[in-house]
Amino acid sequence: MNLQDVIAHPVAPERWLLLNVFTKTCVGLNGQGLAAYSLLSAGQEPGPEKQHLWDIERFSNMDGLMADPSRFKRDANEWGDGRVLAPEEFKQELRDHLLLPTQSESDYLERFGNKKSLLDRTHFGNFHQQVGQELFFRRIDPGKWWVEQKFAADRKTVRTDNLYGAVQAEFLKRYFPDRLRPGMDVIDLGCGIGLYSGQMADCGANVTGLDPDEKYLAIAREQYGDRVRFQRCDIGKPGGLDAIPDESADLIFMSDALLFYYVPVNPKETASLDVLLSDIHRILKPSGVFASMEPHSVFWLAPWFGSPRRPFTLLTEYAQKFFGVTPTLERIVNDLGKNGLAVSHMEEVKPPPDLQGPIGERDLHFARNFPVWHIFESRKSWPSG
Amino acid sequence: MDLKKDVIAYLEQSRPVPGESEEEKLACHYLDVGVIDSMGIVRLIADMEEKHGFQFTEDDLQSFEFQTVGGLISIIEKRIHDGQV
Repeated sequence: MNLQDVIAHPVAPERWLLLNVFTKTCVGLNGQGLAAYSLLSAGQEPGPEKQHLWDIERFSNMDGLMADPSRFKRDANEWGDGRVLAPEEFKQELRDHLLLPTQSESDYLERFGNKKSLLDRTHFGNFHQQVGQELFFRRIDPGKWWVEQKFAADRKTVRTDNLYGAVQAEFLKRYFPDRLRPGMDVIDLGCGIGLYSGQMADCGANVTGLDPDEKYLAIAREQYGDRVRFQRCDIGKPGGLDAIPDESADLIFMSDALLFYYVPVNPKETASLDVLLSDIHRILKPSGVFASMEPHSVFWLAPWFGSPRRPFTLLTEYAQKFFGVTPTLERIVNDLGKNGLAVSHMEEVKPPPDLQGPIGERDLHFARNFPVWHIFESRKSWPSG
Repeated sequence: MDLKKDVIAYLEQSRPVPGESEEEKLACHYLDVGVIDSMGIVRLIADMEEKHGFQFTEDDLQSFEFQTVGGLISIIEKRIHDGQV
């Protein structure tokens, strides 16, 4: 590793976060510990004094897919007493947290590769792999966890206590009535438990909800079966959408789904983006719109620094992805384009200005300045067939 | 059937554990060499826990020991023993 991967950031008086921004490993130090670190980083020995060190790493992504991804205990009042360490132990802790070099640069870079298995802790892997491993260690059912990120326990509403409610659901509450007219034919692609299908049907549209997972469709039918037609389809696989006629949709809507065609949760997944986009092109009416609302390609998973009202972030990757699982903006626009879909509108979705609710001040201000979703609308740039 | 043979037989349901001798098999990193996949390991945990009536701890699953056949067997032995005292 390189010492320049590490930053020191004050989080409270006399309390410092020492963080490797690439590996997201960290410790908490006081001023004296930071001075000792400074000497160690210059290859000097800091003397015989014991040093205080706080264990402040936490896998904050477990709090939610749209929660603060910063991975340290932000509130220094919750750091506890910490540990008092002899100089050698202190140095070893800093090495273990990848804050002092331990291995060659090439061995270090090798660690950013994909995890080889569920138990692989040598390779950091991408976001999906990290979450999957954490769920495994904590023995949490992944299917249940993913649904709970977005939906309330009754599965009838989007949770209002995180950004799904505050940003996504709030936006769609305005977006659907704005875009939909009674009688329009709509496909909700990857409809999951059908909540947004139901909302579009409530605007008077004829909605068909498609999803590969029968388990989610069962919930969808129970809730919205009276006004939405639900059908199981292998979206993105050859022939998967053959049951849907050519030029039959005014709007094809997709949310939080396109990114999985770039980096699947299961690396063996075979669904293809080009198959999906050419199916979308085929199914759209000549004047139809494909609208895809996705986690923002730049800001989703970027750490949240700064004071709650004046946030800043540090980007560690964009074009060259190791950790992140979103496509670049360039790829989205060009992949749509090469499948005959030209972007006609793009919006970076932020919380409404008057929003009040149970989400945290830090979440609200971060999402206002660094949007965590975008929506791309595209239209056919050449006819079907 | 002793536990060693039992666990190796379980792992070998779909693919043999590489190694000529028992010693070599016990040193095998079963997930890295693809003896079982990630779904398989989830099933293995559930099956071993049900069969022997114990629970792996979070530390067990995160341990280096858990990644080799021999290490896995010794964790299971330890947990079975803990349940009996």
